[in-house]
Amino acid sequence: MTSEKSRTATVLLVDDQAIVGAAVKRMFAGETDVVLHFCTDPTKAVAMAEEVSPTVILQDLVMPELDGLTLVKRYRENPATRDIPLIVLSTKEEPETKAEAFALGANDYLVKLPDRLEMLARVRYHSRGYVAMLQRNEAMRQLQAELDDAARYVTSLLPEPIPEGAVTVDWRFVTCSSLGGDAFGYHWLDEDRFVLYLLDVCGHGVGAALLSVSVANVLRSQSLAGTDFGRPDSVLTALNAAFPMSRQNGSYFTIWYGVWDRRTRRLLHASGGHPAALMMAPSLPLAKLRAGNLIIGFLPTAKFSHEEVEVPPGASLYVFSDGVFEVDLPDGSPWPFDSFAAWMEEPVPPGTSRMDALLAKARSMNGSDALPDDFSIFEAVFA
Amino acid sequence: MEIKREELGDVTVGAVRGRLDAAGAPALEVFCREWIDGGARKLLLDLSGLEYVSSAGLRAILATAKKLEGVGGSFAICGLAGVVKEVFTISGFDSLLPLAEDRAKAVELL
Repeated sequence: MTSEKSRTATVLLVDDQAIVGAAVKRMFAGETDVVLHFCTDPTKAVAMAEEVSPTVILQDLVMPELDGLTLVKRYRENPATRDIPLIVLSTKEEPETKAEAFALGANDYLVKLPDRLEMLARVRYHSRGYVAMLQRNEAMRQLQAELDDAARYVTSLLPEPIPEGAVTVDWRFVTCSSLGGDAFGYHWLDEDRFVLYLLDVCGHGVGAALLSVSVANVLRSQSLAGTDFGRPDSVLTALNAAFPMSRQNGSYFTIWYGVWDRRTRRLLHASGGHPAALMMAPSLPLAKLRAGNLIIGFLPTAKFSHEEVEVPPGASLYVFSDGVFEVDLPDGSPWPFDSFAAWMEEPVPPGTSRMDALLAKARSMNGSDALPDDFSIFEAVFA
Repeated sequence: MEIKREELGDVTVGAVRGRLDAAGAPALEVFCREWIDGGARKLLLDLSGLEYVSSAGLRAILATAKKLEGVGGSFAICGLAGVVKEVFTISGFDSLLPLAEDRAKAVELL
């Protein structure tokens, strides 16, 4: 909307009496910032409003064929005219009529014919407010479009599921706002070693997503000088040095990082403040894989270590953010990790992904499809 | 989140209750900062009434510990249980900050 147009009040006067139209026209004469459209047929008022897009409607109350208050209701029911300021112009002075007009959605009420100065002041006041609302809506629409673009970019960075091979991987990723703070990835480091990681930046929204994308890109491109990406302790140490919260606007993140070697079937893994990953293998108890270390970025002098575990053939590994289990139980208390882990061991109906079952459970416990935190999980199955 | 100040000899105790999440964390940080600015040098956070702590809550606790370290003070935490204790373990905070089971044992750390 141009600034010149934003200053112009486009007025639609709906009144069956030509004499009123002429009077209002005289009031606005010489005012270069007020454009008047006049409709004498109330049955055509809504269509005309749609056509001329007024910034203010002046509406007569007593007309043949169609009652003014009925029209007020119709403007409010029509998406094209719903928010246009409505000034009811009437000869009626009873408080009950005025109250009814406001109840039906009128923004103002003038007993006709008002003084020219007052009429102009009210028309300009309501028009400016409406134009400001349109401009704000447009800005919000643009901002949302940019957020949606950014969300598409973040999602595009996530790897494709791997349906076959020595390691198969599938995932679920549901953000709690347009942009989340979770990211994950997996890839073959060389022909024998497979890297898997999932990180969770504190908070949500644009700030969290920017840090999350920066870290994910560093891990994808393996661009941390002097880092052995085949060793989780080396990766976490390097990330802690590269992303201190003092230089990241107070933001920090947790990460689970693992490296599986198919020659030895050993998995090296480390957690930087991140929940344990869960490994399930036929005829073996559930294993919680968490070589505990501090959250990344909290303390420059923090030391990081990793642990090692053997991965039996057919084992499934679940790596996730805390959003998958940080939902409240029906009594309002949080779902303890051990109860969540025990639930993950329970059988799911044939043909159902455990990840889908978990998402459904989290949504059902939360009482809504909108979850309070990002929900990210991947499942890796080792042949 | 509720925080109540109590005095235990020369130790300032902040008894925290409820949920220490993104909404409550800034308040905790502000209260503790004010106490430190007001001269408190031995600060104990009693988290036995805490139901939940998020990463934002951990950040506020760490900021308080760092602030106290900067002025030569000492800091301790007591009363961790349940899910809150779990979060301290997962985040690595249990190895970073002085923890004690109860107030009496925590005072000995200060």
